[in-house]
Amino acid sequence: MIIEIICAMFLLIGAVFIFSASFGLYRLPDAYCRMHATTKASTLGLISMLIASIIFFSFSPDIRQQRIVIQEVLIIFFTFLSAPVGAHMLARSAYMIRIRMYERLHVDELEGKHLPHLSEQR
Amino acid sequence: MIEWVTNFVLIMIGVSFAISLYRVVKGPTSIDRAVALDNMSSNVVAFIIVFSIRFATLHFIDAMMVIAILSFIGTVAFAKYIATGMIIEKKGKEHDH
Repeated sequence: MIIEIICAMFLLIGAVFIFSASFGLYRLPDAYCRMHATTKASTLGLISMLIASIIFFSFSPDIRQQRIVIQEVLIIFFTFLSAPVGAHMLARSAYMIRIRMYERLHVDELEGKHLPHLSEQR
Repeated sequence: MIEWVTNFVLIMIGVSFAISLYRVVKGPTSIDRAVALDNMSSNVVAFIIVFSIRFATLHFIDAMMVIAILSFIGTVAFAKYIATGMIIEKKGKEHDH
């Protein structure tokens, strides 16, 4: 019973974070802001759900379902590794093709600098 | 109790998936579509986890890993295609011209 309560708590936390990620994807004004919303919150929600799965299947009363948890740990590691890399590459290519920024943004740290990758590849 | 919680969480993930699908259809630029597709794949992985907890089965655990890895590869390929126009760069292209 206590296992179910802990598992349900992690599941609800993960659902709230995943829903807030998608709500930010709907609501925010800019491609960069949307990227910021989805990448962090969605990763945290996914990892919370994976922890719930680890707890649920480690303490399962059915003996056939108790197992060594290796897939969830692998998915946590890979998500930590891949989500920032993918978001960074998307943000870089968004800056390279000059996606329109939000109007009230007034600091652009890359503006006017010489970016060799940008000038070579265009 | 865990059945009610997992049903509620499955509904919330479905709503998130629908919102991401709206952004894929409407999104002004292709970057928005790529970000929304990445978010959709993450939602699918979460859905499979909650589904396997709900029905207490272990047969879908490997599908999660495949979806996670393929979504990362797809995101990187999409970003590279948007930025440079090619995905796999050919070696020795300078010598041809």
